[in-house]
Parts: sequence; C-alpha cells; structure tokens
Amino acid sequence: MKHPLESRIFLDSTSGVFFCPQGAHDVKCTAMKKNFYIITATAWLLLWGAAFVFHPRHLPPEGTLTAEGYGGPIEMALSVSTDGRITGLKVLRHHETPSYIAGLESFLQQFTGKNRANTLVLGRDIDAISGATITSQAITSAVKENLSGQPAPPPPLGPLLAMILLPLVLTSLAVAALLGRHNALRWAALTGSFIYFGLVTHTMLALIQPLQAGLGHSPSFGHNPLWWMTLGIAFIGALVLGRIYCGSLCPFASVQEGLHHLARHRHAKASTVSPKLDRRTRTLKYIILLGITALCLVSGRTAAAAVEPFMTFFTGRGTGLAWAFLGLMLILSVFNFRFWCKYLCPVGALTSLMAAFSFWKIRPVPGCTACDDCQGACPVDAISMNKNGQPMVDNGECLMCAKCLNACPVSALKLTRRPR
Amino acid sequence: MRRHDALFIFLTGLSVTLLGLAVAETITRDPQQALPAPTVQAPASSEALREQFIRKGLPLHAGKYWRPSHE
Repeated sequence: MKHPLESRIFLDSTSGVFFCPQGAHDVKCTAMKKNFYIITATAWLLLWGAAFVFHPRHLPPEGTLTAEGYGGPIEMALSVSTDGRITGLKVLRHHETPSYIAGLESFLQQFTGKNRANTLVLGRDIDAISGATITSQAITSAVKENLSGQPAPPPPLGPLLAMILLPLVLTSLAVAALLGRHNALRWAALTGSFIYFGLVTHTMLALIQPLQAGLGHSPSFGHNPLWWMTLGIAFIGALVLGRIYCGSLCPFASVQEGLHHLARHRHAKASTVSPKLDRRTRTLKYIILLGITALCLVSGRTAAAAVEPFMTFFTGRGTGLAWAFLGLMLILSVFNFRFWCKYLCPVGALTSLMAAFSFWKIRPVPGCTACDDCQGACPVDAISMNKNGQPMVDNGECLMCAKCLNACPVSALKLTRRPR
Repeated sequence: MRRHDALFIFLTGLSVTLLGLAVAETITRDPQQALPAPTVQAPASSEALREQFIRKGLPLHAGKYWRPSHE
C-alpha cells in the first residue's frame, strides 16, 4: 500500500507540476524534478534547433551596404548623387533589439548631405543612437568605407579589450564570492555589473541572444565581444557552477535585491506566499521561455524576445506598456525577493535548466543535525527538508549566493563536484 | 485561500497579462515589419538597382543615381 504522502506527490505530477508540498520531499520527488528539467530542456532544445531547419541562413544580396551591428549584420541601401553627396541611407534588414534602436530613422537622416570630404566621425559629425553605440559606429564606418572606397581602420583595441576583460574580472569576483562565501564580494560583483553591464554598456544577457544565435543572426566576436562574453559567462557558468550569473552578475537582479533589502531595512513586510503556490508559480518562467521561443521560431524574428523589463530600465526607452510592466516588477520585488527572477524571467529559466545539471553544486553531506538553518537562510526557497529533516537543494532554483553554506553550523552543505 | 495567496495570484496574473501584451506590442511594432522586403536582387548595373528601388518605393531623388556598394 502506498504511503499517503506518495499519493499526494503523484497527484501533483499528474496535474503537470512536479513539485510536492513543502516538507514532503523524498527520493521520488527529486526524480520527478529531474524529469521536469530534462523534459523542459529537451523541448527548448528541439524548438531552438528547429530554427536551423525552418529558417535557412540569409546572405546579404549583392549591391547592398552591410555593417556589423550589435545584433548581427545590417543591410542598407546608400544613395549618392553625381557630385558625391549622400542623398539617402535606408536600412533594408537588421537584427537589432527594437527598443535599442528607437532613434534609427533620425540617426540615418544625419548622413544626408554628407560627402567624401566629411570625416564622418561618430560623436563629432554624427550623433550616435543613445544606448546603441556599437550599431551607430558600425553604420558610420560602413558608410565612410563605401564613400571613400578604402577599408575603415580597425576599431580601437582598448574598448574591445575592456569588453573581454571587465566581464572576466566581474566573473572572477562572483566566483571568489561563492568559493570564499563572502556576501560583500558578491555585492561588489553585483554593483560592478550594474554599473558596467547596466549603466555603461546596456548589455546584459537576454533571451534574444540565444535565439539570434539559433537563427544565425549573431554578431562576430571581433565586432561585439561583449555579446559573446555575457552569453558565455552565463551559460558556461551555469553548466559549471550553477546560476552564478543570475545570483551575482545580473544587473537587473542587483536592482531587485537592492530594492528588497532597502524596503526590509525600512521594516516593510515581506510577502508570505504558501510554499505550494510559490513552487507552482515558478513553472511560469519555463512556459514563458518555451512560448517566446516558439513565437520566434514561427516568425523567424526575435522581436518577441525583446520584452524583458531590464531593457526598459537601463535604456530608459520603452512604450507605456513596457514602463507599466517594469514598474510592476519593481514594486513586486520590494515585497517578494526577486519576483521577476523567480517567476517570470525566461533567461532565468534557461540558466535553471542548465544549472540543474551543473558540474559543481551545493549538496548535502553527512553530518546534518536537521536544524533547518539552511532552509531559513535561502533567499529563494531553493532548499526544502525531506521526511527525515535532511536538506534537499533544488539546484535549478539555487542562485549560488552561498548563504546556506554560511548558515549551516556543522558544514553539512558543501559545494561539491558531481559524484562519480 | 489565504489573503496573501489571493493577492499573489492576482498580481502574478496581472504581470503575465502585461508581459503577453508587451510581447504582442513588440511583434506588431517591430521596425523590421515596416521595412521593405529585404530582397534587393543582385543588380546587373546601377541602373537595374535603381529600378528595383523605384519599384519598392524607396526614396529616390530626380537626377540622382543609386550606387551599389561594390562600385
């Protein structure tokens, strides 16, 4: 005869949600969670892979002017008068994030009337699109190259090196914070990424990036190393060390965490949602991930993926709807720790799927006294206790903040490699 | 149902609705949609390319010509 608890767990699984009630975990439940991650990851990979089959690579037609934009090649038509003046510049095809290039038309109009004698220096002769410097520079260089007939000089090495080194420095800080269990270091990484990824470059990992890569629209590493660095750090990081990007490097996460802690400091009450509802709501982010990926696959365009609130927050551009959504996310993050990350973020869902199978994980080791301190310390409720009072870590939800490691009085939780 | 849970469900539902509307808005306002068909065929000459641009309704000033990038 089945244990009554098992029946409840199966009931949950038949309703499509693989999470059992808080405090009732056992081996079977862990296996169901793993199945959930495997099924969702496979579904996403199938959708993503289908892009290769249904959307063949597009080659720029001969006769068009091509520039390497932030999100991939930009095809343009350039008209020049008999006396060598530009009479029109039009974009025929691009893969830029719509909100980032809201001022594209007025930017292109600046080229009208310019000729070979003009130096066409961005920032002096041509004003860049705010928040889209790489794209602005690429278009300007391509036009200049076409007018002069000479190849444009290579981009300055300094900014390119900064795009490679600064993310590596921030990642090193985040890894050091995890290995050394220093919360202050983690905040240093979060603050650094808020400044560099958020305020300076407006570049953070977004769902649009893996989708662009799937549709073959990605920029080359030489033109936009930061695009590849954020993608690599988040995904390789998730496969090796879990959701370290989400936990310590995402600039929008720093905003949400900052707001939440500030409110708590001012004695604002945190929302207490029942654990079952909380766990079920977390499946929303996977549904959003699969839905947006399917939309992009059908349309062959990645515009549907450009709705994350951090784009509006850091670029300062967005429609009324985008601002309303951002406002709601910020308000909810005050009362519910990282509301966007836990329940809705499709990038978080993707890193969760990878982190569930990461090489290094926080795992329970023998010696636990069932004191429950780790569960109380986890800010995202990724730890629950099994029937014997032993901790079980949901590595897909774990943000690798190391607070549980610090909270355990007998070091019964450890960051360990995959057992052989 | 607890009051907190009911409020949470309402706010989460509102968030998902706003997100869905934002996706729909982004798709319909995608600047790429407003662009002409992205297929300027390989031209035999500048004149042929000019003709293509005229057909696609791209701005073209009288007495000017369109110069493809490889010329």
